[in-house]
Amino acid sequence: MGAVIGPIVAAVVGAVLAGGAAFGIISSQTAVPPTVDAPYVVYGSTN
Amino acid sequence: MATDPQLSSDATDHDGRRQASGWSGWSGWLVPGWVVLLSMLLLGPALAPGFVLTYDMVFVPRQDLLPASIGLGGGLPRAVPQDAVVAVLTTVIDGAWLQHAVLLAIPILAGMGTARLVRSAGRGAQLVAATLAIWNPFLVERLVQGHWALLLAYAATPWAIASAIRVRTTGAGATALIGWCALGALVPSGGILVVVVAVPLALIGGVADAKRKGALAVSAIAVNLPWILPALLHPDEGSADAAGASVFALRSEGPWGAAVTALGGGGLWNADAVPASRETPISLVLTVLVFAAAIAGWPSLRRMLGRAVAGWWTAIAILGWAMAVASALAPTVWADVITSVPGAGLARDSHKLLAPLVLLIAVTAALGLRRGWQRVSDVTARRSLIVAGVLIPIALLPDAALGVGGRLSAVDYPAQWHQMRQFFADQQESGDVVVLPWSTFRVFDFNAGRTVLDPAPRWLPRTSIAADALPVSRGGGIVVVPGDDPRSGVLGRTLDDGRPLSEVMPELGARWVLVESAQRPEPEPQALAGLEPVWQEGDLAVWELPVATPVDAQPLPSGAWLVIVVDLLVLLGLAMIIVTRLVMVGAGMTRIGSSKRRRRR
Repeated sequence: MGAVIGPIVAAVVGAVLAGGAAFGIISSQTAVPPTVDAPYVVYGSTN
Repeated sequence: MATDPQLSSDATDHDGRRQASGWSGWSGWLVPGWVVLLSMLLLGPALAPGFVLTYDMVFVPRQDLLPASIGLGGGLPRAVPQDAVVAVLTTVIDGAWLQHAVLLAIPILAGMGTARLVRSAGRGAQLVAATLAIWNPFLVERLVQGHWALLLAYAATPWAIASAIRVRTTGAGATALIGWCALGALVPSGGILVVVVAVPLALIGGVADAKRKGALAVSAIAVNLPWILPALLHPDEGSADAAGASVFALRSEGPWGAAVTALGGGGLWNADAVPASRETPISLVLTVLVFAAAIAGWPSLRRMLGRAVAGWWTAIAILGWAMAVASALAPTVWADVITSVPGAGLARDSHKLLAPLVLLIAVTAALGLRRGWQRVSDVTARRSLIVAGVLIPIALLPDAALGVGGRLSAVDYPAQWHQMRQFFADQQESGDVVVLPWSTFRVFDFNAGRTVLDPAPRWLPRTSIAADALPVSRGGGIVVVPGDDPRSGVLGRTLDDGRPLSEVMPELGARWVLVESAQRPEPEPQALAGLEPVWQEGDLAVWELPVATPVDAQPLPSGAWLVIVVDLLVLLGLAMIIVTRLVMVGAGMTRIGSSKRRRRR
C-alpha cells in the first residue's frame, strides 16, 4: 500500500504547487511585496 | 514520552487504532515523518543557509545581552525575555542556526503536539490534526509577520494541554507543564496563551493535591515574571493608544467578513503578509469544510479528553474568537477597552487571540473526519478519504508552500554589518547609539526588498535608541502608532524641529549615531551637525560627538535589581528542572541496561 500512497501524495502535492504557480498564487523565491511610496518604510498595510 | 492515562484509556471509546484508520501495516514513523516533510515543504527556502528577515523577525549572528533584553530599556517589554534568551543562546550557537532550529521547531512541535492529543483516535486522525495545525492561515500569516516566539507558544500549547491532562488524571507531569509554560513565555502574549489554555485544566478538579496545585500555579506565574515585572515598572503599564487598537484589529480577508475569516484562522491586520489565496473563494471553501468537520468532531473530543477539558478549551477558543471579531465589528468599543484597561495593550493585535481556536479546530476537525471515514467499510476507500483529508488543507492554501512563495527566503548580511559591530565593540568610551534614518523598518536590497524591523539594535553590542513608532498604510494614507520609549520620543521631536541631534544626545546618554544611508527617509544634513564622522563602510556610517563631550550615564529604572534577581531565580529554577529531568532519564536508562544484562545472564 505504501508504494501506492507515496506517489499519489507526491502527485497531488506537485499538481497543487504547479497549478498554484501557473495562476500566480505561488510565486518564485524572489517574490517582493508591493513597494509603498511613503517617506519611510511602513510596517504593513490594512487595506 | 509518558503515556496519559486519560488519553490512552479513551482508546477504548473508539474503535482502536487499527480499525480507525486501517494503517496497521505502517510503522510508527508515519506521523513524525509526515510532520517533518510538511514542515520542510512549508519552510522551503527558509531552511537554506542565512537569515530569514521578515517584518518583526530579526536574527543576527551574535546578539548581546543588554538592559533592553530583559525589559530594562525604554520601551515596553514586547520581546522580553525573547531577546535575552536569544542573546544567551547566540553565545554558543550562531544566530542563523538558532533561527533555523526555531523555524523548524514551530511546525514540528505544533504538528506532533496535536497528533499526540488524538493519539487514541488512530494515525489517520493524527495525520489530519497535524496537517491542520501546521498548514493554516494563522501559522502562515504569523510566520510572514515574523512572530516566531508567539508561534512557539502556539506550538507548545497542545503539549501543555497534554501535560495538564496528565496532572489532572495522575497528579504527575507538573514539571513538563511548567516547561511548556516557560517556552510560551518568551513573549507576553505567548506566555498568556499557554497559561490560560492549559494551566486551569490542571488546577481545577483532578487528582492533584492542593500543595501540588499551589506549586504549579506559582511556577506558571513565576516563569512569566521576566516580562510581567518590566511591564509593571514601565510608566505605560501595557495600555495602548486608540490608533494601535484600530490599526491592529482583525482584518477581513474577503467579502464574507471578519467573523468567517477568523473561523478559518486568518485575519492578520497586515494585508501584505497574507497569502494571495486567502482573498479568493477557495479560502471560504477551506473554512467551511474544516469548520463543519470540527463541529462533527467535537463530541469525540469531549469523550476523548473529558467534558471539563474540552469545555474549557472550547470556551477559551470562543472567547478569543469573539474578542478578535469584536475588534473588527465594534472598533470603538474595542479601542476603549484596549486603551483604558491596564495591560490590555497585549491584545491590540487581536488576531493573536485566535490561537486556541485554530488548535481546537485542528483537533476536532480531525476527529470529525474520522467519524466520516469510520462509516466506510472498504479499506481502500477509507484510506483515500484520509489522504484527501490530509491534502485538501494544503490544496486550499497552496501559496503557503516553499516559504510562503519565497517570502521566507534566507539571505546573508553584507560584510559591513559585521565590521560595524566590531567597530563598536572596539570603542572604549561609554555611551549609547542613535540609529538613523528615523524609521522603525527597513527595506534592504540584500533582503529582496522585503520589509523588516531595523536589525541594527540587535547587531549593536551597545544599547541603541531608534525610532519605535509604527507607520501603517491605511485607506490611502498612513497611520502612525506612537512608540513608548521616552528617549526615542525626545530624539524624534528634535528631528521634527530640524535641530541637531548633538543638542540632546549627551543628556540622553548617546555618544554615536549610526547612519544606514541607503534607507528612507534620508537624514537632513543639520541632524548630524556637531558630530564627527569616524567610520564608514558601504552604506553604513558612524558619527560621534566630539571626544571631550561628557555623556550622561543612563541609570537603570528603579526596581531594576528586582527584575535581575527574579530573572536569575527563574533561570536557576528552570535549570534545576532540566537537570533533574536529565538525571531521571539517565537513571532510567541505566536501570533498563542493567535489566537487559541480567536477562542475558
